[in-house]
Formats: sequence, C-alpha cells, structure tokens
Amino acid sequence: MRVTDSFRFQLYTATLSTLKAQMDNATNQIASGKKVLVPADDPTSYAQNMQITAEQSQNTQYASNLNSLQAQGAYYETSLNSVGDLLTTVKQLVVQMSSATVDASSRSAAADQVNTIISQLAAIGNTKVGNTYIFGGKKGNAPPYQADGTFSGTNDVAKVAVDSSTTVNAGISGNTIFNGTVSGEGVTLNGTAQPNIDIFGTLKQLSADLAANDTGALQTDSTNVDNCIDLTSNNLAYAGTYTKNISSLLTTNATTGTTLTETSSNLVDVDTAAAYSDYTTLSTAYQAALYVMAKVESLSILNYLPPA
Amino acid sequence: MSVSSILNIAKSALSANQTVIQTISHNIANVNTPGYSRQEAVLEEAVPTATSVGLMGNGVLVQQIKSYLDQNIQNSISAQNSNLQEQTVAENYLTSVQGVFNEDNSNLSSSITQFFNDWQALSTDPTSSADKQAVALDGQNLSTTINSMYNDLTTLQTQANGDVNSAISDINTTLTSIASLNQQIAQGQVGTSEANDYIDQRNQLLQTLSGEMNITCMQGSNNMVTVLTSSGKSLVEGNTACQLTPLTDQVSGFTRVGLQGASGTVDITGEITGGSLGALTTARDTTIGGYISDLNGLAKSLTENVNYFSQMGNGGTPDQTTSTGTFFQPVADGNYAGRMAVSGQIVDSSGNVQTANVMTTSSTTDTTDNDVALRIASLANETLLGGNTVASTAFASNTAALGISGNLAVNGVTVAVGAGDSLSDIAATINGIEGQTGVSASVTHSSTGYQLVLTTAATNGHISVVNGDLAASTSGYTGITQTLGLSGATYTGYEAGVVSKVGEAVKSATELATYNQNAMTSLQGQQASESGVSIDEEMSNLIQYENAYQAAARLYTVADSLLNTLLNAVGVTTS
Repeated sequence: MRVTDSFRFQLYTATLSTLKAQMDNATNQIASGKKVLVPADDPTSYAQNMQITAEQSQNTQYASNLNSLQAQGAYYETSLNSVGDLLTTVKQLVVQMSSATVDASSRSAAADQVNTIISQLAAIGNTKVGNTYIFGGKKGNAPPYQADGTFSGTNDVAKVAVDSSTTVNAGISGNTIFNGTVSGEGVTLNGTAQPNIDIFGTLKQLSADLAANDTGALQTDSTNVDNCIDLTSNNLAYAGTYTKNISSLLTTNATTGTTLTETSSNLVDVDTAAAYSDYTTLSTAYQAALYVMAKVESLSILNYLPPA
Repeated sequence: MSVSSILNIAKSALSANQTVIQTISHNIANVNTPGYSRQEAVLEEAVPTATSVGLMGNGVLVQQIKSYLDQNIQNSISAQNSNLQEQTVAENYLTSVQGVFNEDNSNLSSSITQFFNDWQALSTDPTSSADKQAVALDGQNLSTTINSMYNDLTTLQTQANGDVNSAISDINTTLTSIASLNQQIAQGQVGTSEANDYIDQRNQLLQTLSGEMNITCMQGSNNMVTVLTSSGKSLVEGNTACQLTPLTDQVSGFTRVGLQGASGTVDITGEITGGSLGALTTARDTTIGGYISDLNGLAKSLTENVNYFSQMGNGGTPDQTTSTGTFFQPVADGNYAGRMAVSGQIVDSSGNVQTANVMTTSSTTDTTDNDVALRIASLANETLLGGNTVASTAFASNTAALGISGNLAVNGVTVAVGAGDSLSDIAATINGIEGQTGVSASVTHSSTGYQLVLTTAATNGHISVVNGDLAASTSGYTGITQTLGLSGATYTGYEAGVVSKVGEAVKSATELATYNQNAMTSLQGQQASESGVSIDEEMSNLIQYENAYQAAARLYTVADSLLNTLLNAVGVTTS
C-alpha cells in the first residue's frame, strides 16, 4: 500500500482530535463530579435522574408540609392541656359548691367564675397560629368562637398531602374538641359510647345552675364535667397520636430523601478514581501519538537530499 | 542513420523527460489538493526506422498523461459522503436541541416541580398571600421557561430553513459547474493532463453534491456524467443543468425544494432523504417539529388541567371556553408552548399579583378550605399525559355497567360517568364532546377483553386524562382514571421521557456520524493509496528523470563533437 503525505497528516489530525475530545470529556467529568453531563451521555440515567431530582424536590415540600403540621400539632397539645387545666378548676369548683355549707352568694360568685372560664375556653378555641385559627376547621381565617362559646367554624378540616399518595387531616376542628367526639374514634365513658359531649353547653348549664342556686342539678353537672374532662384527655391522646404520626411520617420522609440522594448519586456521579485513571491513560496515548508523529516526520526524503 | 538522428533522439528525450518532470511538478504542487489524482506521463518508444541492419530506435515519445483514478472508489466516496454529511448535520441540530432540553439549561422539570410544590405550600396555608404570590410567580416562571424553549426550538427551525435555502443555491452552483465541466471534458482530448484535471474537479463536485443530497450518477457518452435524483429525475444531462428552486410551504411557511424541469416545477422534497439537505429538512420538519409538538402537549395539558380545577374555585364550573377563574391564560390557536402565560386576572399588566384571584377552594363559605389547591398540587403525581392514543385496561364486557361514577377531565373537558355506565356508554359520552376535546373514543375487543381506546387525530397530539373530581380520598387521587386503567406519564416523567428521547437521538446520531466518518476515512485511505501524491515517490522520480534529462542533454555535446570531427575531417572549420 502506498502511503501518501496528505492522507498521513489527515490521519494524525483525526487521531489527535479524537484523543483530545476523549481527554476533554474525562476532564469535564472530573471537574464537574458527574459522569452524565448531557442527556446523550446516558439517556436512561439522565432521565431517571431528572425524575429523582423532581421526587427529591417534592419530598422536601412534603417535609415542609409535615413540619408545619408538626408545629401546629404542638399548639393543639398545649391548648388541650390548658382546656384540661380549666376543666379541672371547674371540677374543683363544682365539688366545692356542691357542699351544703356554701351559700347562694358564693354560688353566684362561682357562676361568674365559670363564665370567665367559658370565655377563657373560647379564647383557647380562637388560638391563632400564623394566619390560621387552628380550631376553625375549614374557616380558619376568622375567630371560630364567640365569647359565649358559639362555634362558627366547620366540623371537618382541610387535608394536606404528606407523600405522593397520602393526605392527612390538617389539624383538629374546635367542634370535635369542645363539642363532640374525637373524629372516628368515639369516646366511651362508663361503658357507653358518648356521641356528643358539649363542653360549652355543660359549663353554661353549670353557670346557670350555680346562679339559680340549684344544688340538685349540680350533681348531674358534676358528672357532665367529668365527661368533659375525659373527652379532653381522650382528645389529648388523639393530639399526641396525631403529632407522633406526623413525626414518624417525617422520619419516613427523611429516609426517602436519603435513598433518593443515593440513587441519584449512583446514576450520575462520577467515580473520580476511575475517571482519573482514564484521563491518565488517554494523556499517555496522546503523548505517544505526538512522539510517533515527530519521529515519522523526520523520515522525509527531503531531509536526505542536498539543498538544490 | 545519421548524426542528425542522434540530435532528433536527444530532442525527443529532452522533451519527454521535460514532460515527465512537468507532470511530477504538477503532482508535487497538488500534493494537498482535495480530489486531485496523481498523474504520470507514460513514455513509449518512438516508431523505429528500418535500416539495412534492422530496425533502429528513434527515441522516446509521451504516449499519454495517465491519471491514477479509481472511479469505483471515487463513486463509493461520493455515496459515503451523502451519509456522512447527513449524519453530521443531524448530529449538529440534535446537539442544539439537546442544549434546549438539557435540564441544566432549561430547568423545565424543576420549574414544574416548583410550581406544584408551591400549590402544596399554599394548601397548607390557603389564605397566605405570600404562598399565593409564589404560586403566581412560579407559574409565570414555568410559562416563561416553556415559552423560551419553544422560541429556541423555532429559532433552530428557522436556522435549518435558512440552511435549506443556502443549500439550494449551493446545489444550483454545483449543478451548473458539473454541466460545464461535462462540456469541457467532452470537447477535450482524452489522456491529457487538462482532461484529467477536469475529471478530478468534476469528481470533487459530485462528491460535494452528494454530500448535499442523495443522487445517482451514470457515465454518459463522451465521458460526460448524468446526475439524477434518487427517483430518477434529471439534474444534469450532458452539458445541461437543471436548477432547484425554493417553494414555500403553505402551512408552515418553510421552504420546500422544487426542481425546475421542462414540464414546470416539481416538488422533490420527499425524494431528498440523504445529504445535508435531506438532514436539514428532516431536522426542521420531523425532528424539531416533533419536539415542539411534545412541548406543546405538555403546555396544553398543564394549562387545561390547572385551569380545570382553578375554575372550580368559589363554586365555579370548569369551562375551557371562558377565562373566568382560570389560572393560565386560555389559548385559542393551539400554540400552547408559545403562548402559555399566567392569566391576566392573576398577574395584572403592571406585574402585580392579584392574590384574591388565586383559587384555593371550591367553597364560597369555607374560606380556608384547600380542596382546589390540594387538587392542583396533586396533578404533579397523577399519571395523565399520554400520546396519540390512550387505552384502558381490559374489561370483561363492553355493555355491562362498570359501577363506577365520577368525572373524567379529557383534555380539560368534563366527561361525567354514572354508576350504570358501561364502556360503550363512556365511549359514546366522549364522542359526544369530540368537538371540544379533539379526542374520539372506541371500544376494542381482543382476547384479553374489551378496552376503551381514546384517540386524537392531531398529528403528534397528546391526550391528557385526569380524574375530574375535587374530592381527595385518603389514599390520594385513586379515582376513575385509575379504575379504568387510563395511564400516561406524570408531567416530570413526560418531560424526562422527552429528554431521554433527545439524548438517545443525539447518541445515535453521534455514533452514526463517527461510524460514517470512519468508513469515509477507510475509503479515503484506499483512494489515497491509489491516487494520492507521495512526496518521497515524486522526489525519487524527479531525481531519476533529472538524470535522464542530463544524459539526453549530453547527447547534444556528443553529436556536436561527432559533427565537428566530421567537418574537420572534410576541411570545414567550425567555430
């Protein structure tokens, strides 16, 4: 085979540019830390990584949803504790006022005290976190309770997504706390299910009975207050479960996040040692090509002819 | 037999060696000329003269200037150049498309996720102005991202169209040159350096031409070539060249390729499947056109589905024909990718966000309910975007009631399904509103059972089907679409699929371009081996013929001295 000059140079150029391109690619991989820089490098991995990046971003949003639910959950527990404390005060008051030694004026004073507690409970019912009245259900932008305990919120609450296929209740409606049963669980007191325990109604009745000095009714009121206390502790347990559930969802969320990061890294991150080794191999090949080129070029006939 | 015949022989030798050396210089001068085939002056003995002692030599003649041209290799190179240029151009355009879709540049997938994440955040605090601002501004950002990708793609199309126009005029110049070289070759003398050079030039032009478009060449009379299109329409016939002419496509406004012939201009765009022109029309119409359509499907589905649920805000009803309660601006002309924008009710002309118009709840009283926001946020996870056809899972019967009820939103239009409806009933309902959705439905039967098949007639169209109810079940939105098994891709999954498709196309084009380049290099190696100029070879020939020339010149001295001797002998003195 005849080897001609022009073609020989063409081959040198092609070889060198191929090697240069490969070295360039290896350098980019090392510099960026990624083995998949453009979709064409590995279309499947690139697309998978895009999906995973999207999932990571969503997962972060779910974490943020959960964090805000958790923050709210803490307020429910605090509020319910206060409700429990106030009801205990009422209970003590009822016991005290049931005594035959107490006179009508003391009972009247106690009625005032109960009314104060009613408005304190209403204030708790109007607890506001950020923009939201947390006991308002789906009407959380206005105070759900009037001072006398009249409720203007909704019984059901909005839902919030905590992963791609699950939604949880965003909080607890005031009505299930002050007037009713814990959603879906029911309250069983003294062996019978209590469908509806109205805290404000009970206290208003108590206040009226105290004001009327109706000692006979106080006995019933005392039982009702007990039911209210039981409801509240059940609600407290529910709120505890609620926040615990949020915490465990947060843990799952964090685990998912870690898994996604690992998967993404496996898909597109470069093995630096391997990439560096590739680079060294290529750079040796490049030097060898240059060396051979220089050697072969000195073999021209022109170097052996005397100058014309 | 005379002394003068020595002079004649010397003269012929000088002239022949001079011609050889001239040919060698021509070779050396053209060592790097593309398409040049090395030439050789072929020497032969002059016709001998019969004498009494037998035939006596009469010196040397240049029989012809031979060109070391292997027309077969040359033809293979031309054909290969067609593939090579096609793949190179395709690779260039696809790499540009890849640049548009590359997530690192476009951030489309992350814009989509961010947009839906904002709705999530808004669902946790439905009256928050800040969250509503974020939804509106990130909606705007998402629209702008899609708009600018669309613009980048149409710019590439326009660029390809410009390249088509310049390729047409380049081809016309080449065709004319080939015809005029045909003429010169036919008129010239075979076996001269001049004719060889013309043939080399013509081969080079044919190689260029087949790099531009796929052609067929035939050897005609008088060494002329006939150049035809792939279906046999004449481009160059003898010394006549036909001309290509740009035609304007009535729909796209892009240039199509016309061929001016005796019977008027014929559209030959479909025949040009190879070369850079073939690659350009394919890139412009099919490749980039297809990706624009993919992007448009995404923009359309985003607009329609977000609007569908946004319009349910404040007790409203979805209606794609009005802009009441929409989040994105409704698009009338189908160019969703180019025109997608957040509604003017949400972001007004001075750029202020009207937070009151960002819908979060379907209730007119429950102001902090979040059903709309939650439903829009959940679009991020729904499988909803399909291709031209979407099929349901197989059911046992096409007429039995399915016992499922609810609403489907097919391309943003409500399809109500009642518990008594069968597959055929659902198909009939969908066909009843085909005018609004552009989607027709049929029930097909196979060994696996009956399937509901949705089809859109639009070329490269997309069907977007989503559960059309607001209510969220605790396990997400497993609604009627899931029951029917109508599946598609999520928005980010769809986008990842498009990017993967672009990546595969670039990868395959790069590999093909490399393969074709290697095949070309191999052919060029064969060609160089046969036709290329080797300086070493030419230099040694040069020395060889220089010596021969010197020897021939010496003959003059010898003949001169012989004549002198002779003239002295007869008493004539010369100088």
